[in-house]
Amino acid sequence: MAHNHRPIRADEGDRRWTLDGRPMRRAREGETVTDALLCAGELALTRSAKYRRPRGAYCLRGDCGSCLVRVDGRPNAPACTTKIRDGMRVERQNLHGPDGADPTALVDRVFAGGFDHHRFMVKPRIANELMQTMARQLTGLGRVPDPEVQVRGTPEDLRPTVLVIGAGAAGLAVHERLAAAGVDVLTVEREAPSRAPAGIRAATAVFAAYPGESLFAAQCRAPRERPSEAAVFGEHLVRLRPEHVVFATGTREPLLTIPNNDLPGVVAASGLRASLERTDGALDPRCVVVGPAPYAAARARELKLATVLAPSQVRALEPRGSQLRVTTDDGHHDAPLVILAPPPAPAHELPVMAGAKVQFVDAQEPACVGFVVQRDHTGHAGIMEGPHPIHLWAVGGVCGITDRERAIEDSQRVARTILATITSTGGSAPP
Amino acid sequence: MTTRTFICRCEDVTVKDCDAAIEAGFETIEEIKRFTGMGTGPCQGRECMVPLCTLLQERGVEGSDALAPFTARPPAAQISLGALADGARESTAIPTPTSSPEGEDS
Repeated sequence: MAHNHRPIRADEGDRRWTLDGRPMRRAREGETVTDALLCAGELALTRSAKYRRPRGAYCLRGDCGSCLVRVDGRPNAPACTTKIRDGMRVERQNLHGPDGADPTALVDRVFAGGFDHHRFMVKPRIANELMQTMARQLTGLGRVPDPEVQVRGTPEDLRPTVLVIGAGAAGLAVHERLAAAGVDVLTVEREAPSRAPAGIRAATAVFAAYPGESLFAAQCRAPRERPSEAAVFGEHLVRLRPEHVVFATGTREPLLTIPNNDLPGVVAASGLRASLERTDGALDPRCVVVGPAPYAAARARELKLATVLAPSQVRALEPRGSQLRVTTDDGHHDAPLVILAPPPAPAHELPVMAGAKVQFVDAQEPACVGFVVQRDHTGHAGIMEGPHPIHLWAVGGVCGITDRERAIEDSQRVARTILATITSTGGSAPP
Repeated sequence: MTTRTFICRCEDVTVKDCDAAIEAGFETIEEIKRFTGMGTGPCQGRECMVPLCTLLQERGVEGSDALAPFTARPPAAQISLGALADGARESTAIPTPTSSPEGEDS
């Protein structure tokens, strides 16, 4: 394999780990697999489903799903949210053929007029079955777990008065306000920061709202006996039956449509920033930020990078050795990483599942592009109808309030309303 | 490297594929999802739904029906089948709010 360029330079830690059997730079405590991979310059992790193109991590924070790796004999762990433990074995999945090979060219030669899966080998039926079998051999999500891998955990049932989903600035503001008033509030956070604020359940991701059962469901990536210790295994189900739910799910960074935006080494700006904090590393100053003006400029400032391009300026993006070459009308930049800075998009799925309404917005104010949760002036976003109706509230980024200070102010206001509601209905708030 | 501009990396759906869908008469997010398969991979639309909205706006397809998200279904975060199965196995033992809340938690 060619010498890898390392986009992040970081000191070594004490956690040994291997990638496909090769010992790597020791990781520091709190580093995720993608953090360590960026420090090692290992960017390609898998191949795509249809064109078999090399792919790597993009969002770096558990949203996108292109960094799945096999960890200690278990498939499909998201590399970006899996913390490195001493002695960890990480294997890339579904990566056949040499690293740089690109079968897309072959597809283009064979299907000069474009590949249309609605027509290709659909008839006769026998041909379709043959094609399906072959496609399933080529692609997929890794091999089954090693036999000795045990995943067992007794489900947990929790009935807080208020469930806050997300422990960003907005969620924490609600949590602190309600906890200070003595309300039985549970705040869950899907990430597992090294220092989780007191009273927060980290590594606990809410994945469903079931109105028919008045139930929210989460997976906790930690043994039930020690819920604060994030683990790769030992996860268990958490069933949540609150009276109020506060969505503080924030925003995320979707893809930007520039040529070859799928290449390994194309990563999202905010995710990368968090990665740099965990590794305490230095980013190669030749990295290029691409995005619409206000967002790209802001992210470049945070990352201390000089080269900022609008998406429309990018004429071509191609691998060049172990770097990426960005071509514009004025020349080109060879960058270890191409960092996308899209407008933040509200994480709207859970509120929608629970019955909240959303509206598409595309605006500087609120500074986001995506589906924002609709709520009344008090922050109330409706009721999850079911056997035991649950009040829905929304705060911060998921409502399009992406400015931190404003999000905190908004959250405190909504928390006061929730408090008043609980007190007036004789909930579990103190007298 | 052959150039492609992706809307959805999970299912390898490009801008060109979405344009073909629009040309075929599909103009809402839901329809384009069904025609191209975008949004049906591991990310479940988290990465691709907004870029598709932006593309539809650029193409002048902007009715309120067009820019509605496709149905959000569990799981909204990755979960192992093992953990889910454990939940189903024990579901008969879940205390309900009307019965006494004597789970093994209390």
